[in-house]
Amino acid sequence: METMIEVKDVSMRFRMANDRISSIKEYAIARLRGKLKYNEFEALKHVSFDVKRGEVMGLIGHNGAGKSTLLKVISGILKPTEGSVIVRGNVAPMLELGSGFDFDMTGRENIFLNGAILGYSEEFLKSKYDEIVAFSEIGPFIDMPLRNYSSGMVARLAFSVATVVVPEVLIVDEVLAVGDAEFQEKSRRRMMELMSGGTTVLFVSHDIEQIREMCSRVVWLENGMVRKAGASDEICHLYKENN
Amino acid sequence: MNLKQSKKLLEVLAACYWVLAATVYLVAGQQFHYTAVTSDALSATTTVGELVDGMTITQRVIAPAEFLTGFDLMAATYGRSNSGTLHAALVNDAGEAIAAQDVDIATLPESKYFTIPLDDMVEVQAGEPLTLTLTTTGCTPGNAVTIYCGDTIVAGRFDIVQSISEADRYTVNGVPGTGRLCIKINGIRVLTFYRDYWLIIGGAFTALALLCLHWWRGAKAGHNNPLVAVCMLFTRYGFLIRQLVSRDFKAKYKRSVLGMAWSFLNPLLTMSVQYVVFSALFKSDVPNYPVYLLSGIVFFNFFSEAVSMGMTSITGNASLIKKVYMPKYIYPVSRILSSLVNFALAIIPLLLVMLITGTAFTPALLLLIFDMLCLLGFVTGMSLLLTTAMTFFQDTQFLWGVVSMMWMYLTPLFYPESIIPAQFLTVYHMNPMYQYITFARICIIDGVSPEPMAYLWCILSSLVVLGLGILTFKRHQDKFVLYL
Repeated sequence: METMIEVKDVSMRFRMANDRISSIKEYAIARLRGKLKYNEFEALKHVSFDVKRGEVMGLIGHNGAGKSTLLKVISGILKPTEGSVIVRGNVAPMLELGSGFDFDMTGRENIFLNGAILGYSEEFLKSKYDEIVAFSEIGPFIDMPLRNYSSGMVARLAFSVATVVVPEVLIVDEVLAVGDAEFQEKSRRRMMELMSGGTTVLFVSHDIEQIREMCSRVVWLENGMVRKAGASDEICHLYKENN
Repeated sequence: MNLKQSKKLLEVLAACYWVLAATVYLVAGQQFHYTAVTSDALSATTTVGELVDGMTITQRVIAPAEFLTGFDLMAATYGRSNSGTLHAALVNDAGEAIAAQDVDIATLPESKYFTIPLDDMVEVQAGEPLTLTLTTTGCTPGNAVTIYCGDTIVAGRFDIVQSISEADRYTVNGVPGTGRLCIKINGIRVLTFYRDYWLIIGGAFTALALLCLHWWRGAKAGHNNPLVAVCMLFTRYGFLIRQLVSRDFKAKYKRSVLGMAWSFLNPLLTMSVQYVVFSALFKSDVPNYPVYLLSGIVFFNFFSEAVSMGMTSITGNASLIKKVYMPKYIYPVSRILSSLVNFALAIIPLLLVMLITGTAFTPALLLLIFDMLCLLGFVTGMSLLLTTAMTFFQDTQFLWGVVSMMWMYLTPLFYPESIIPAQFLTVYHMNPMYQYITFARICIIDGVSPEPMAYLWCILSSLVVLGLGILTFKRHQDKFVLYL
């Protein structure tokens, strides 16, 4: 089977200056005093795994284990210090909803702005526009500036834009369930639909039951390293025992 | 990358290149064949005395170029109207007469340089010493003019006395005077440039085409290079950039009643204020002062606005950069493009003021396209440099505030260039903004093309800064996200 995501020996190191230097003066003084020391923080250490086409891969681990960093590396937002990541096909990273929303612009303008930022083409957005508006249940508010929306409405709009696309590779940081109880149920269904429709999914969650239910394989990250990877049931069981 | 779309894009770019080259050639025409030169004169301090019949004044001059077209002369009329004829004759060292020209004395203005063209252009050797002889007929005391002379040059606010050898002084009936006559010799220099024009254009095109071909092969092999970046900008990211530009634009004028109108009201109002404030000071020195002012303001505003917008493009979009992947150059490019839209709108009041002041609309205005492209490249380079610096050191924006103010005063926006002391002019001319703005003013106000050297300066400063900007940005772009 075709490999969609290939993570090869990825290490991510952050240099943390002993005091975050953000002015030329501070930099010059620290340099002159020879105090320009960096503490290295290794967020990911030699992580390797791959995800095959159509597979739903779960990513579990404690806070600070490196899950979000790994997602950012795979999405191309961070460049790994070492190693390489190859992603085939078009990717829809859903790390945040409503990226680039401008609260002074109308809902309609924001659909196009946010859609463009997510990498949709103009034709695609035009053809899906009605669907997005219908799903978001915004109704006549669509031509009002976002600043007049309730936070639930903003979240619904953001969710509707983000999930209108059926990508080849979907990267999800926590299942996004937004709005009131009814819409939460609707958005959960949409996510499940997206994730079960033959799409390759890389999925981070703290809800271990959800992971077990959804994923075929699971990678368990701990302190930036792959603690264990394998079939979903086995890893989830181990993970639960260790906590 | 969509190869088919990119190929089309390249073809369009190549066509634009040739159209621009042809436009420049056709419009610039004469300016590329010849360049006008004028010898320097000393400042007028005194006169030689009434120039009456029987008096012969001579002055040694140096031919400034290989073709002489005439000379400028500063006479004093004693505040009355005089009549008679002034005979000017140029003789070379071998004693051969080179040119002679009669001038109706009644036409000479009081204490102003007056250009006397030769009826026929004469060919000499550039740098050849010549003797100018002035005699009159029909002039008597009380009905005669005099010629200014001097022995100082003005440097800033000071007059510096020049030592003039005896041979260089004027003579009255063979007796040497104290200084030199206030006379400038005009000539034109033939440029070899126009002969090589198509060779240079063709050579540059071949070089660019080869570079593109190299990149094209790289792109096919999946490498990232500037060609890919530019093509992506127009194809895949075109929609995104349009969205970002329209967002910037809407954000700028949100909740303002006049909205977009501010884009052209702003330069117009600035010009009005500066016109009122400075016209008393500089108006007489600058022909067509309103257009002079506004062209400077519009061009400089684009520079300062685009650079300060571009500078904050990375730090200002921190939340996006941390959450979404797109090539980093999209951010500064979209900011610069929104400033470019503003710039285009600001051109409207400039055209309006040109209409009102009766400035002629000449084909030379087409040359502004070249000037604007150079300015665009320069602005992009500066933005890329500063946004990189800004990401690592927040001081950059405060420093830039001071630097851009200094830069504004160092560029002749509201004052004429002539107030700058001569010894600083070489350094003063190195300011790229000076080059772009002067280029624009020559096209707009004088309605002719600048000299070939001006083109060279504009394109060089633009390419150097753009290249530096791209290299710096490319080298550091992967680290940006770690510092946000």
